[in-house]
Amino acid sequence: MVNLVTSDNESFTVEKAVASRSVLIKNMLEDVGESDQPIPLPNVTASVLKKVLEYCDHHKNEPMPTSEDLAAEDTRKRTTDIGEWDQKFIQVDQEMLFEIILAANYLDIKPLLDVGCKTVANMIKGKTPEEIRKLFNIVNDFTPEEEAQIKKENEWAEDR
Amino acid sequence: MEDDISMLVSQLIHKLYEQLVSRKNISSDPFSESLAPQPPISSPLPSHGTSLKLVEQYEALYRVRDHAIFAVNAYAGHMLSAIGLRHNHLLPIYRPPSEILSMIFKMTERSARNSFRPLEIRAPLNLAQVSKLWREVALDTPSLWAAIDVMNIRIAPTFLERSRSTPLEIVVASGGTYGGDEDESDNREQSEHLATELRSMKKAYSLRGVDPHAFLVPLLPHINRWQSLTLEGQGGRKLEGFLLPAVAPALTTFCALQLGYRAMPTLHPALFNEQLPSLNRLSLLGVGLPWELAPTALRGLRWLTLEGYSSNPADRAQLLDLLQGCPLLEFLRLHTEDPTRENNTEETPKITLHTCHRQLQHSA
Repeated sequence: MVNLVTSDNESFTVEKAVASRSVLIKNMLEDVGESDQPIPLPNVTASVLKKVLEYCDHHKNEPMPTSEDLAAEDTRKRTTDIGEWDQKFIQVDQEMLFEIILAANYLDIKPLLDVGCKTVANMIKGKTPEEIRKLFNIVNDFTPEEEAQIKKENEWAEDR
Repeated sequence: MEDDISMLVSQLIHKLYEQLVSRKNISSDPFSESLAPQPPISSPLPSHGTSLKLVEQYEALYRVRDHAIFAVNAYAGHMLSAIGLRHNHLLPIYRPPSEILSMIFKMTERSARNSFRPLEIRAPLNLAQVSKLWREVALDTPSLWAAIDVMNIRIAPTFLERSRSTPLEIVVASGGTYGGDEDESDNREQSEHLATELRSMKKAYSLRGVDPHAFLVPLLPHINRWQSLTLEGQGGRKLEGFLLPAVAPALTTFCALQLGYRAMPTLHPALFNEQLPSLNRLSLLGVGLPWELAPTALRGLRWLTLEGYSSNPADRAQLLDLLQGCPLLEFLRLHTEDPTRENNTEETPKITLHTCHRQLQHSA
């Protein structure tokens, strides 16, 4: 078993196979060898780690992505390809969604990072800039000069 | 509030007017040349005896007003921009680093239907208009701008510039072979959207893409970075004898399709013998391989799909010769519309493709 300690000082004891879905933790375990020492995760809170561990537990028996899998990501593919369980898992509010993405990036859990990014990509696709702003509560922060430049660049939209 | 603003604005105008007048007195600033010395701005009308003519005073005040409006707009615009920037940096979506945002953008751009969409909602054009940060990330991700097709060809210079040295993916097709997303097929609203988007693409294709040669002309200066090329011939024999105007040294993927197999066009042999030295993935759908191919013309192929190819013995013998010259072939898909002849194999020699996963399909 592996003991993980979050930034808000909460401990999680999990199977090694679950914790090792994180390449960061896997490497740490390999570096320190067999040890009872807790592994500190200063960039992850308990609520986010709980969610991340839920993902890792569900996928613990799957093969880790190979370098070939990572290379194949450069080829064109659909972003809607998210497994059924993963889709339900990632149905969280935006706050949690981006925290999961950050945690997956920090912990180096590529498949989880992919699920998070694909979810955001699916939210964005086929929307106008204004619809995207509304979706994420983004404010138009262009200066008047930048706005004019963008308008000039988008003259194609007016001469259709 | 309105009173306060009114007072501030009148003070601003007055002050600006005075400054312009004093500039006139100390320099030959062309902007303030129309101003006469020290008009009594506080009085609504100039008194008799003043050297400033009414019309000049009117013009000066007119300019002052315009400059005040411009200055207020610019100042307020920059203030709003700064406040908006600070607001945005507190949002959840601004937390991940730019590399992750860039990854999300790539997934959006690579989604199956992105190339069908009108430019207003097509990635990366929509992404680059959301906010300062999104624009920076989009412009700093050249691969987002590497796909050129019938929908965006009219703004190809923008894509060519922003893609920098990234290999280009060129598609001159109407989307007619798109099968649809399985996960979206149950959603009626999305199916309607798809149908609308496909109609737009077909319209764009008929308007701009019907002649592959003409389509490719503006992209020729960048031929060294063409990585993939998809051509569709429709309503005629546009692909008959197709040949590029020059060698495409980096082109690895070539796909040609002729919708409706009535008159199967054949590509020019020099296309494979000379112009595509890096080709490793070839798909021909309703398009024939030329007869005069060198035995090693397709030697670099790893992937070959031939649909609607002729299965008469002579063609088949040529195909087998060519396949023997493809030691790297990993995937082969053959689909013929002529099953009666396919069974006649007594004259056909056997070859072995060690690395290949075959898929043979015949349909009546």
